[in-house]
Amino acid sequence: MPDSTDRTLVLQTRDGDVEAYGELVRRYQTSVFNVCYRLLGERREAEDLAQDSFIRGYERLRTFDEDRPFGPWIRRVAANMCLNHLRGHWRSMEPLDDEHDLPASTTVIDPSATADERASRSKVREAIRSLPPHYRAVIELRHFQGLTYQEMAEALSLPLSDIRSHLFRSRRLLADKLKADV
Amino acid sequence: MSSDMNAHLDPEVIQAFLDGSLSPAEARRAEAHLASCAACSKQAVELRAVFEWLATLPDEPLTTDLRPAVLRRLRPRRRPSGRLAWLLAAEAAGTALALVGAWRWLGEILSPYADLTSNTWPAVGWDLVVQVAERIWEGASGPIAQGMSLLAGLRLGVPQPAIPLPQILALIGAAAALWLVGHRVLLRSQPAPQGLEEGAR
Repeated sequence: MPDSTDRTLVLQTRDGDVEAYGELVRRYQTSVFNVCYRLLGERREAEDLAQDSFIRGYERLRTFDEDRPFGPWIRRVAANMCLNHLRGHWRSMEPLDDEHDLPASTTVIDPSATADERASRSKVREAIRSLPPHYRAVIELRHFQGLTYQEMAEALSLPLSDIRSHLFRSRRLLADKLKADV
Repeated sequence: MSSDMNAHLDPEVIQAFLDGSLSPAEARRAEAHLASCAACSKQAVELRAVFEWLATLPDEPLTTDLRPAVLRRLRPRRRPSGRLAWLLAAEAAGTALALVGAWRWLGEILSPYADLTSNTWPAVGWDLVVQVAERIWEGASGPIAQGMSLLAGLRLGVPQPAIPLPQILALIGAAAALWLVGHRVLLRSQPAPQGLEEGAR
């Protein structure tokens, strides 16, 4: 099964082979988790949402075009799950500033990276986590999911002008936070 | 975007230029302005740095394998595959047979006591319940051998069932085994443990 293509595994899953879906989970769990982690900023919550995303993906597998790559599709499912999760919060959330305390980060150490690289990545992650959720969302959709402005507007149900301004402000915030540190 | 080359570019135009979302003509004008304006160029450099930081951010390792939890949540709702359908059918048939056998056997066992009640079989009166309970109590309060003999006495005192007890027990056992296989408690294929990995964007 590890040698099977994603397409084969999708077709086997549709035929009722749950183990085939397990192999898809194995292949994409890290990237799906990272979508959730970047958007939610909390590891435990990200793991829960990643699980939910795979369940949702399984339920909607019949709508998936098996001739397209599975990875971007399941990551998009995860992004939508997290955005729906955040939607309930973000209207009431004000942008965080440097005076706000953030919950302690639980970054896992990557032994292959140098200490400087680890420190630099950690600062980038912290900077993303410090953004308010709707800014995190546009960063995720643009930089990590590769959506166009129009696709982002549809995904977030916002006008294009808001997408442009959210994107600009979030990048500006990241630049201000990172230029001194990284 | 301003058509005046001396006016600074709107910051969102700089962003759109970096995102590649300007028209070719707009992009050429922005590029020309950035080449000659230090202030706008500085903004573009800072924004481009953000693009690079984000582009080089690797995935955070996942320390928990999500598969067991995901599969556990999926299995109960899974429909039986064609491979298991016959097992489930056999399970249903075995259960039905066992129930029929057990019913007939119970009927044979209890039929002599039907006269203890004013009702006809299969109605069971209070007297019968009391008598059976007394016999069970006698068996439970004595040694195992006494209990066994009581059971033997019970069986000797009534006509032999249409289906012998061992066969009924075998039927129930077979039904239970089929149920366990059908629900993948027995003979379940175990996937070999594998690393978490994968997940390139």
